[in-house]
Amino acid sequence: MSARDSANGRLSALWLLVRPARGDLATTALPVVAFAVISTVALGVVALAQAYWNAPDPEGFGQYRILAAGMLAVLVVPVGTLGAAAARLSARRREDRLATLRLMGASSSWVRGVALVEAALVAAAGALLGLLLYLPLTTLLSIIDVVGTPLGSVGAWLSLPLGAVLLLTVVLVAVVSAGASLRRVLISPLGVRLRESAPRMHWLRVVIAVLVVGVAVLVLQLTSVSWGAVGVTAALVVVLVAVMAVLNVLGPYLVGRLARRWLARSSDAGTLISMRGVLESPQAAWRQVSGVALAGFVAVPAGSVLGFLDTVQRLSDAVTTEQILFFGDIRLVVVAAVAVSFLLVACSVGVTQAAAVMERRALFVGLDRLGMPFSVMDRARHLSVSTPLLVAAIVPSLIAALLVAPVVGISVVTAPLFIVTVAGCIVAGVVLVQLGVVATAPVLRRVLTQPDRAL
Amino acid sequence: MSVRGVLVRYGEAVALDGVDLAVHDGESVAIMGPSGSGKSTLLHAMAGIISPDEGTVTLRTRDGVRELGGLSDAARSALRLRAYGFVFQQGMLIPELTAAENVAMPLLLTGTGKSAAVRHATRLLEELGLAGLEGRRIGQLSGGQAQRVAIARARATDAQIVFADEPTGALDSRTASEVLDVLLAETTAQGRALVVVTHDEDVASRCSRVVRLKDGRIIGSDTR
Repeated sequence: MSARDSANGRLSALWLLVRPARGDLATTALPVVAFAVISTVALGVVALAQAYWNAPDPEGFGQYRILAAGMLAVLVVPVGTLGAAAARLSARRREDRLATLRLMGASSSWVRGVALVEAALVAAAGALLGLLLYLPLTTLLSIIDVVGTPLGSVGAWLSLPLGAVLLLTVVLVAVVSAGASLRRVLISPLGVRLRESAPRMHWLRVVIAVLVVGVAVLVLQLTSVSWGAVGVTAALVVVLVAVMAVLNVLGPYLVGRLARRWLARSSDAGTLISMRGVLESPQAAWRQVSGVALAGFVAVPAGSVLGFLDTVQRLSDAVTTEQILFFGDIRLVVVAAVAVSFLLVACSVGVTQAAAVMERRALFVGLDRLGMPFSVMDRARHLSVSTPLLVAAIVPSLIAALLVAPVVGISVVTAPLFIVTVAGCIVAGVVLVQLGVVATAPVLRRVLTQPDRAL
Repeated sequence: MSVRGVLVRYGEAVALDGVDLAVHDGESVAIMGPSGSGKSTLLHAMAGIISPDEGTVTLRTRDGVRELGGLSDAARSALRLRAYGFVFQQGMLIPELTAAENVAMPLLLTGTGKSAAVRHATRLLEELGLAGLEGRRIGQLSGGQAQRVAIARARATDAQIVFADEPTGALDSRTASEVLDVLLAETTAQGRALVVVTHDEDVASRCSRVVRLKDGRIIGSDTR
């Protein structure tokens, strides 16, 4: 057999495996839509950030560049989380199939290639769809005021190389995440998935968190305008990164503690199943809502600062027109960052829940056979999200309030409406995330009605 | 195939403890034993899916004698592709593909062109009584039909040895008997070896030899 014949055969096999299949549409569509959302959001956010980055800076302080960098930094986590979740879903629904191929004798590199090609195709389809969705969005973006003037249709567009790099980055995120989630299948042709108990997390995490937050408070207290734009940006980025790292250490610990407590008190099957699911991996439970943590962490100080600035603006004649415009731009960026974060987290939760239903298919089918009503299973899914969500919505907001306590205190007294708005935004975000769970109910119904069929 | 002194550990637990076994062409060997006795582990070691911690598994192929432990992961994959066939309880078929595509898959992996592979697969399915069902997906087939597809797939590359793990476990007794008829007809009757892991005495009674395992050791071997 010639090398050409051999290559043709393998290409045919590759096409059979990566082509979209009838009946498989719902689970193929989910990651495609997720990547489309990521791409649209990324294009819009980068267009806005580009406008701020290029804004005039007569005072030479670079506040608009700080704003642009801050907006991008806040959205990196939810975009990354959603991208990874979508790629994992795309790869996991194929795990059994890939394990079968390994058993049949396909080499591990070939199987890895199939998975990565598929992940890249799904992400590329999503990126193209995202580009199409971005077209009508440019009309909306063009009327947004940036530094007092509408962004305009030219400003709403990115240069071709920048747009291409962004969309290629989306594909790259998908490929890397898919590769990482396939390691187990490639190790064993049986694709053996052993249920292991998650290691208990040490209380030392709390001590580390307290120490880091203490240092962050100190850094923020010491930060002054005299440090210049670079110094202030560096200080803010260091504090943001340090506190986010702490949240990722502390969050899973608190989620685990809460789940264990609820498990001990549970008297119904739904709570029992959901808390056991959370305890299987508190890290994974936390990861799917970590975007909410970041949004809450940013929204509280930003809302307080906006409230404070609004008071200053109302009471003082010394505020310049440029400053008023800048306050308006900060408000726009905060609202956009928080809204987009929640949207991305809601998508991320939807994708993660769809993957969870598929991974625990046998459990849900077994419960159905036992006679457990659909409503109880659905409630268990909601609980498994609301437990980490509760921690993600409250703890980072409290830490943020502690970090900028003086500003929050002043704002509570002088502009309580801003604080109420921030709280309202967080509640709305929590509801949006729960809607992400609601959106995956059809996946569970499909599993229960056709347990033996591929999803 | 020759298995000598095979020992497999999972952590501190010993799954197989010095197992010796030989399987000859045209022979059917049933491996029986209680849960946890090491049946599936033995089958996986013989198939090169796992590597034993001690002992050797050797196979006489058309290209000479091969010791599985000394083969790279890629070489063991190639061996599974060309010399082995698998029929497992759930068939381990790919649900998104049609019956013909499932059977054609190992041929495509060996480099056969698609039209030739699907043609060969269709012929095999017809021989196994599945004419007209080539275009159906696995979910649209009954349990017995799906197992026939798995048997056809095992035959597609002219495998020397077919490994079956509880191949009739999910089937009713009548369908199980029919599937076993087909499995034996497609293997031992044509000079291939068949190794079956089973709990079912009826299945074991149809094999030419029954090997009984307990706590990772062979405690008996009956030739019929």
